[in-house]
Amino acid sequence: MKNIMFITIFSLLLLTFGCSKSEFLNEGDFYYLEHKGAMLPVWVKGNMDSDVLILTLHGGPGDSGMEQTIALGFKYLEDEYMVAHWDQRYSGMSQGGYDESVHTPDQYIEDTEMVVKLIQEKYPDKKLFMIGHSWGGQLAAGYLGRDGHDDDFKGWIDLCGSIYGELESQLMKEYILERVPEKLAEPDADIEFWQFIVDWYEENPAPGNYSVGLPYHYVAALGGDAYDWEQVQAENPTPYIELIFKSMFSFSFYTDAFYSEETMKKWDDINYTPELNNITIPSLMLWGADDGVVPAGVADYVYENLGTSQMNKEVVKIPNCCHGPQHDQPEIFFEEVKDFVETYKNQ
Amino acid sequence: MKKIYLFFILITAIVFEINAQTNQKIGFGYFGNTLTYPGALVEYELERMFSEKASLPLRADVGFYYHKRYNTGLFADINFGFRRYFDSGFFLEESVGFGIISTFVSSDNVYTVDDEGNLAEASRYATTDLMPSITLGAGYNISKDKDKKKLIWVRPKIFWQFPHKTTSFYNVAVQVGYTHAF
Repeated sequence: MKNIMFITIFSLLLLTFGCSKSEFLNEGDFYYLEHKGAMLPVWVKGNMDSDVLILTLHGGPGDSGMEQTIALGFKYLEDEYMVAHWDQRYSGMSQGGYDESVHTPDQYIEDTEMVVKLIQEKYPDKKLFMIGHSWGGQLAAGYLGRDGHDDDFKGWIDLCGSIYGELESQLMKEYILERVPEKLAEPDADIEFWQFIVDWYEENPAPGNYSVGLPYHYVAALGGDAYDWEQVQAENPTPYIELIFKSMFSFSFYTDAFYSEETMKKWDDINYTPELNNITIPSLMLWGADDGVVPAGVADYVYENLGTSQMNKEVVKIPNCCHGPQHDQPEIFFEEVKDFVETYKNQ
Repeated sequence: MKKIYLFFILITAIVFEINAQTNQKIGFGYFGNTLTYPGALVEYELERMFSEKASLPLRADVGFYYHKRYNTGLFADINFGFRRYFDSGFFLEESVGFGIISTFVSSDNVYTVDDEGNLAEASRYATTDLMPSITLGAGYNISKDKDKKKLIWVRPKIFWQFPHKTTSFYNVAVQVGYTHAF
């Protein structure tokens, strides 16, 4: 009998611990959107009394919007505004069955349209802004530049966003090859490694932007993804215990549907320059000046090709910052986004 | 989904018929997906004894877990393994399992949006996946009667959901429970 009592008490303790308060399990509104077989989680949180709602589009492709809230820059934003994070199809914590026929960039744009409609129905009086990071910036451009979608938004923050794979892979190549000679000249240089990169580019002069992963490793080796990794970890600590035991996350987080080169080639072919021409809303290209993943030259390209009038678009390149301003320079990230939102929310 | 469940029930029935033994047990327990996402399971076990210290247990489990803001899983699986008893009453075991799991998203609401932008509530059903697993166990026989065991146990379990996205993914669960021979 004592043993049964022990089991019962242990079970109750687990139940209590499992249901205890956690930001990830209790804050904000949490929905799923079902669309074409996918179950997309949508988490709306932050200052729910704000008249501004910022919809985020996460990067990857394959990452999670739910994890963005860990970044200090987004925490600042959530203190000020309502922020809606969601996970894209076959990414992060999305669920549902897999269907290759709807695993296309166009489907991701359609999914974004559905999420926007959901947000508009649930929060009809909010002033909408969109912020897309990395691949999410590319998705934002594809969405906003079609069918007049940009009319529903007060502004767009393009955060180190992709736009045109062929251009980016070349800018990334320049970024890498400009820096490798400095590495080779260091007294304790790993000459074999750095020379391998030079030789690799001679053999692969135009790698696919998404389907070929090695350049991203080269950028990481050069410190072009996070400006100061240790500082990023110190300022944006990942709450692993909470994430594993008290959040919406499961180990599904570590899987996505972007392993096949064939699939990734569909993303290589994206060029949303024509869509950029159609976007006329205020836009802020917010970049890390030292970004090696989507080099800052892409921000200039987006600026030049945006349909927005010159007075309503701006490029800001943050010094000492790489591919994640929300992590690398959270205060500057927040101030820039806030200035932009406050400037345009009533126009 | 119904066909998958019927197939699973048929396979289970065949396996248990082949292994029919008099040493039958039923049990129940806590099923903690990743330890803290609570659930429960009931089990039916046939244990083929080779000696007083070694056996081949065949176990059918039916259970569920609730993971807030992620999903509720309903599962059924059969597990076949090896159990080693010690004179002290303790036992160790391992088993491999195969089953199915149906998941239903858990959130404030589930919506679908039509082309006009109208919201409607949608089904919570997400998917039905295959569920292979590996389970380890440790426990104690609290009965002094070796023929009518009363087992308390802790069973860590790794189970996969397949397919998921384009691959599979694993879950870690801890089961704590009681099994009674009759």
